[in-house]
Amino acid sequence: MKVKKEISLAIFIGLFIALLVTGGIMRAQRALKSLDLPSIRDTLLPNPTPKITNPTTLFLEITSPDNSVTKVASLTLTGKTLQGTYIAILGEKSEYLIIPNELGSFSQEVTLVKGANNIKITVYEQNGNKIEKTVNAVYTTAEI
Amino acid sequence: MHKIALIALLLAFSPLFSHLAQAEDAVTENLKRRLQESLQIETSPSPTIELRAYIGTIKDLIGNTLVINGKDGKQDIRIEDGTVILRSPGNTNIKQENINIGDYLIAIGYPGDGETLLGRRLIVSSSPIESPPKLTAMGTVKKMDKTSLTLSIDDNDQKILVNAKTTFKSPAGPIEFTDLELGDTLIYTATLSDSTQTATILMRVKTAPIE
Repeated sequence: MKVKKEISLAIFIGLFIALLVTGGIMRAQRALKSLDLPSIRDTLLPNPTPKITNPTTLFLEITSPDNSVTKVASLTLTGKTLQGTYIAILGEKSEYLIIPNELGSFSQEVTLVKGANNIKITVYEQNGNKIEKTVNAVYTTAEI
Repeated sequence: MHKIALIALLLAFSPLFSHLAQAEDAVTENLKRRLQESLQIETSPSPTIELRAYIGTIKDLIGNTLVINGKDGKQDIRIEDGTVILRSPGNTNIKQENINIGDYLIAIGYPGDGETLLGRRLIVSSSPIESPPKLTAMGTVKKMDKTSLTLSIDDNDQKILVNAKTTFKSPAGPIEFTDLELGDTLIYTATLSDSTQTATILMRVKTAPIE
């Protein structure tokens, strides 16, 4: 009879501990869910560069690579400048006068000569302000 | 009594078992997601190393490194065992000893440590690499006749010849030479020969103010 009593007591103590543990786990899970942990991708990859909004000072950014080597006789020259400007491109073989799109971006296929190509890009504002940049490219068909 | 207590104990632990199973699933899912993200980062294509070319005048030769002065300043070019060195015109193979300070150079190769280019093909020339003389400017039409325009550019007058090859345009589209008027603002590109400018493209960017 005494043994039965002891067993019952042990069972009730076990029951109490089980309830405590279950409650603890449930609370911990709820707390972890509410935490906004960053993923590996967010930690390893850099944040995107903030975009320039409505610049007012004349600028010229060439996005196609400088000092490039190509096996074809043309190069796609791309870049960004102020909207409402005029772009003059002086290539070795041809010249181009273009305007950027409403976002200030531009793209022009420039014909290349064999060997060294020095491409001069000038951006004009209507008031006469200008900015210049030069891009080099080498056109070769030789196996390198 | 004993049996009832045992059943109660099992019932008390049953939520714990289910929560443990859920927690295990969540951990497995989380691990899978993170592993997949790591794999995606690792397997994303690495940028291919592209050939680069530098153009300039040779300023120095230190050991097997050439120092050239190009449009962006000084640039080191390393001559390696497999570097092909040619002299232009004729593209004859030459040795490193035949490169002279002051020679003009087109260096093609791959980017090395720091700013050094690992030369694969070097073309040296004793005469400068010259571009055909061209220019661009912006000005206001001051005079015009059938074959030329005189523009006021920075308070100086500049005569520009036009010919059948000259293209006339505005930001809206093509125009004719006859559409131009005194006082119009133009941007142009031109070839230069003995100080004579011949327009290749003319763009009207502003029409003359109405009087």
